[in-house]
Amino acid sequence: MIEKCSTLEATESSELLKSLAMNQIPMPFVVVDKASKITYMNPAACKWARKDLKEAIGVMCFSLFPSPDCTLEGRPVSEAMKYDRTVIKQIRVQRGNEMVQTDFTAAPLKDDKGKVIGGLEFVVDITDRLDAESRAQQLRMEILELSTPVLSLWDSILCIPLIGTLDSKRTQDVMEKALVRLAEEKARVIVIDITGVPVIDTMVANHLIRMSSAVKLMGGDCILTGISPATAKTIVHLGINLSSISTCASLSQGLEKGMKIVNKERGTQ
Amino acid sequence: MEQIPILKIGPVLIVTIQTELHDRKAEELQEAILRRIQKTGASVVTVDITALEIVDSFIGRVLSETARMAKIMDTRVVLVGMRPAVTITLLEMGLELEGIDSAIDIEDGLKKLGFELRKIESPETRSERETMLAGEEAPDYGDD
Amino acid sequence: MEMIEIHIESDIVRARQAARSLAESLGFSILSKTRVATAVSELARNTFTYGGGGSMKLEKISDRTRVGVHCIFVDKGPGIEDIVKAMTPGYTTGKGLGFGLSGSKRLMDDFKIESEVGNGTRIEVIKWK
Ligand SMILES: Nc1ncnc2c1ncn2[C@@H]1O[C@H](COP(=O)(O)OP(=O)(O)OP(=O)(O)O)[C@@H](O)[C@H]1O
Ligand SMILES: [Mg+2]
Repeated sequence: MIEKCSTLEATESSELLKSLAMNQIPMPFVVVDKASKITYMNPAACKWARKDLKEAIGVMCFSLFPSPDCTLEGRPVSEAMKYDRTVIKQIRVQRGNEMVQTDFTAAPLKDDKGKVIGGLEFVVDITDRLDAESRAQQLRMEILELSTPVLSLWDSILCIPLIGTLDSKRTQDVMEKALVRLAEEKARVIVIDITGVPVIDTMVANHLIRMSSAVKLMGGDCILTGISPATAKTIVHLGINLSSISTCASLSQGLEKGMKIVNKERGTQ
Repeated sequence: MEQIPILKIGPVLIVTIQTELHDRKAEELQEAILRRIQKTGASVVTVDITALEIVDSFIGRVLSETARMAKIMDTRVVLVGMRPAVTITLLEMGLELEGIDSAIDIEDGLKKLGFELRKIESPETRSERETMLAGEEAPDYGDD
Repeated sequence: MEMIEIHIESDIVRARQAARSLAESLGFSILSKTRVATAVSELARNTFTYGGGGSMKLEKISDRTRVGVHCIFVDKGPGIEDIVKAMTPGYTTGKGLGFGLSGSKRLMDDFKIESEVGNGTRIEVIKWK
């Protein structure tokens, strides 16, 4: 086996090696002249276009590989030849009856003096990759969703039990969700419980303060609960000013405070 | 151009912004609110901005100034119905609406100030009458 | 591509509505649409108030993985003497709050400002979906 390979590397066989490789490259590969007429394409390209090599030669490349994302002037291969550079674009290309998402690469083909005499085109089907990406994205969204529930704790009182670290993205998410619920349910108070947040630093505190300002602008009140002695210590030591948020040690105290606010306005107290 | 109605229910002025608020209109509204406060001696103004798709620095400034001006005239302004997206955008820009009190809706705004809607007979019929009255007694401002 | 002239005050509203509907057609979230419309409102107002009028070029932009809204504001007004100062939150030479430039920078993903005293101002912003 090893020997066979090494024989193929020998100079006299390099033509054979080239043609074997060319014929077996699994992705479509097309060579065109300066007018974008096909001068060669590999078997993968023939299979994609459902044409023999003989039928394909002389045909405009965009009629065998039509794309709704290309205008006549704005095709990658024209751009590559015109500006003498490699162009990579994510475009849709038709294959039979289906439209395929591709990474389309075009490069200039030059003679030995460096003069551009035509173009090369490679087509990579990225449908699977895009599917995988969007599935991963969806999964991330679902996890995010799961990790930040907004609960109805009492009439007009919502509760967000925060668990884990609070980065900007997550705060943004919680905030958006909480504000939408506040508006939808015309809730009056949001209790944010931080028992499950391991560290409160300046950044997290700023996120919480911003959340409270947002709730206030919409006409609600924010109550921060679940503040452990350790958290209280950190807050004071870091010099964080939480005076704009109402705070309680425990969730039940927070609920009580919230009910007081709601009842007072109802005139039942 | 439509004008923004200012209804009067007892000591309360109710302003509902229903259209896109461009700069001049915002300034005219400020003027109209202050004039109505002076004329009626209202103690509270609720400004409903549920319909506003954006509040930028200009509208934000006009609203907050109006609240502060009204305060000097001993009248409180309550902003009602700011949308979640508008709220987040305002905060991201770094704007603070000084002097503004907010409420989730008009009823909640009045409750916060100790008013009870039920006591002011049926709000619908009353406000209709008030609209007519307002049209007669106060020219307000039109699109002149 | 859409060209919006900014010469009278109601053009500010037209500019932000156009930007908002482009964002909408590209499937932006409500929050992102609001960010785009608000930033455009700020920049168009500056073009009108300080730049003595000008225009906004509005178009869709895309790269390999995303689409976005791309706006270019151009005026031939007095220009900005000290851009760093102008970008500082709270700085204003008018009667504003001074949050227009710094605020719209925070709302958008890309923000480029060029200005030459006596020659006008050009601001280019992008918001990706
Ligand atoms: N297109 C422009 N041409 C000339 N000067 C400008 C232009 N845009 C902004 N400026 C200058 O930059 C300053 C800051 O602008 P910015 O939008 O941040 O605040 P503002 O317009 O003064 O107030 P606000 O936008 O909060 O109402 C302006 O006061 C003005 O001096
Ligand atoms: Mg401005």
